[in-house]
Amino acid sequence: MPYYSRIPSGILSLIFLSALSISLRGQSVQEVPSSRAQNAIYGSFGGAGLFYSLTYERTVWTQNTFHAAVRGGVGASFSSVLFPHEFNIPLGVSFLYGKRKGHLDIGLSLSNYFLDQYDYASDKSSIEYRALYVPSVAYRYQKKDGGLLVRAGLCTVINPNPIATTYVPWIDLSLGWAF
Amino acid sequence: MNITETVCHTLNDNELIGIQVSIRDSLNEEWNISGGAVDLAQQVDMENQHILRIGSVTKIFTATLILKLIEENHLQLDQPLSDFYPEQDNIAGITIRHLLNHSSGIIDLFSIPSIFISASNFPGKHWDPNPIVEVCMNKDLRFTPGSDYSYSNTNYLLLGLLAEQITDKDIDQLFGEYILAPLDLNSTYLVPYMPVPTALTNGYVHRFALSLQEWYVTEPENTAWATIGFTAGAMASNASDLSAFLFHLFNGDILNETSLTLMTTFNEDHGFGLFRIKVNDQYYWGHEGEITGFESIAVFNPTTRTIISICCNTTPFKINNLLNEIDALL
Repeated sequence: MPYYSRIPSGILSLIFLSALSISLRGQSVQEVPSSRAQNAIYGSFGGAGLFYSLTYERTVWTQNTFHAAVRGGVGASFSSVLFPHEFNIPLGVSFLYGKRKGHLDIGLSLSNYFLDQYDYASDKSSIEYRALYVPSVAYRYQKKDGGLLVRAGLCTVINPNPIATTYVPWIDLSLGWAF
Repeated sequence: MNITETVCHTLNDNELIGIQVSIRDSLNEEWNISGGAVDLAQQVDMENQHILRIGSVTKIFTATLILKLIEENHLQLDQPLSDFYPEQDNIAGITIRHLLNHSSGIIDLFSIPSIFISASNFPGKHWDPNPIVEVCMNKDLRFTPGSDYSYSNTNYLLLGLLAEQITDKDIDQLFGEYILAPLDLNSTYLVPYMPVPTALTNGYVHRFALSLQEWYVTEPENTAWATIGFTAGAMASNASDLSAFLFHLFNGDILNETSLTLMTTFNEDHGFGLFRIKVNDQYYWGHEGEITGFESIAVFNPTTRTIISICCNTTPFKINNLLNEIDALL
């Protein structure tokens, strides 16, 4: 079994979120104005969910035109026949820059991916854990007080595995609602 | 320029990592040439005994196995595929013959984007061929079976699965029993279904479409591409073993005359697991293979009975150009 599959998923996710939290505490945190939509839910194709995903996001810091948000969700693969048990839990942070409706959205996610592995000898499937790192850059349409949210951008899916680290360019499209 | 110099020039001009060439004449005299390295760092020289993935050259082995099973009455050439997949609605009219000569109309598995994306992201994944063929068979056929030609790896996955189903044996066991052991092909493996040989080399893709790195490396532990390929492309061998295999195949040491005639009855340029490949001004019979990081070809000249096999651990590489040059020097 490859070494990365032995790293508990919770530990990696905890390290990631702790680092995010420490980084935010180091800033001069300004409370999010109540007039600004602090929450968002969106469905995505591509991005940290790899195929389809549903994400909840909460804005945790804002300063003038800069905003930071943390997000978490659940993703599933294209085909239930090809990938019957595969799913993932993307966790990440978005840094937004923009005054009105248009924003530059720079993100970094850790995709906790549960991979369906088939063993030919025993004719059985098993689930293995992978951690994928997914930096992204996107244009984001979102009004200050909420409503329709549209993201369109590109990302790189980085799979740091010992066989051969792969860097796969991929799309990152989302449609949702901010409130 | 002689053949060795031609191979050296090809190696350098195309910036290949490593290459093997094997030539056999009608008397089974063999000449082997190896050049370059097995690794990007050029630390280990490529030798004749190193093993490289051969991609779709696997299809010659698979077609041979199927014809052998037909000879033994395990299967009939015009038997409907629906005998084995009665629950599938889309495959009416498809027979074993259509799978062998790519006239089934079933879509190619590599046209499904999620397979390509997942294999690129998870090189260590071990795929199950059953759901892959199921997804492909659920799609509309490209044309009425037998009415046209469309190269599809799915045809050869299905043939491998049928061979297992009708014999109740694993495919690695079948290849071993019917082809590899009788012909003493000790450097040919269906990986990773057979133990991965230590002599299996890395393969290198320059500027792979879905990678940001200069070189995408397919290491021996990479099971994704080979298990997707299964009996359409999972084999690993070397140029010498491929030449030996073709020598015995066309010498009638594996198949009987009827089967060999069926295999080499070309509809336009398509036979069973074979293509008629124009090399300079004559036709050879064989198959080209490409799998991420590896390029190969194994061909037989029915007139001179010369065999040429080339294996390379670098893509992209226009291997037919080298084949033309070698043929011109023979």
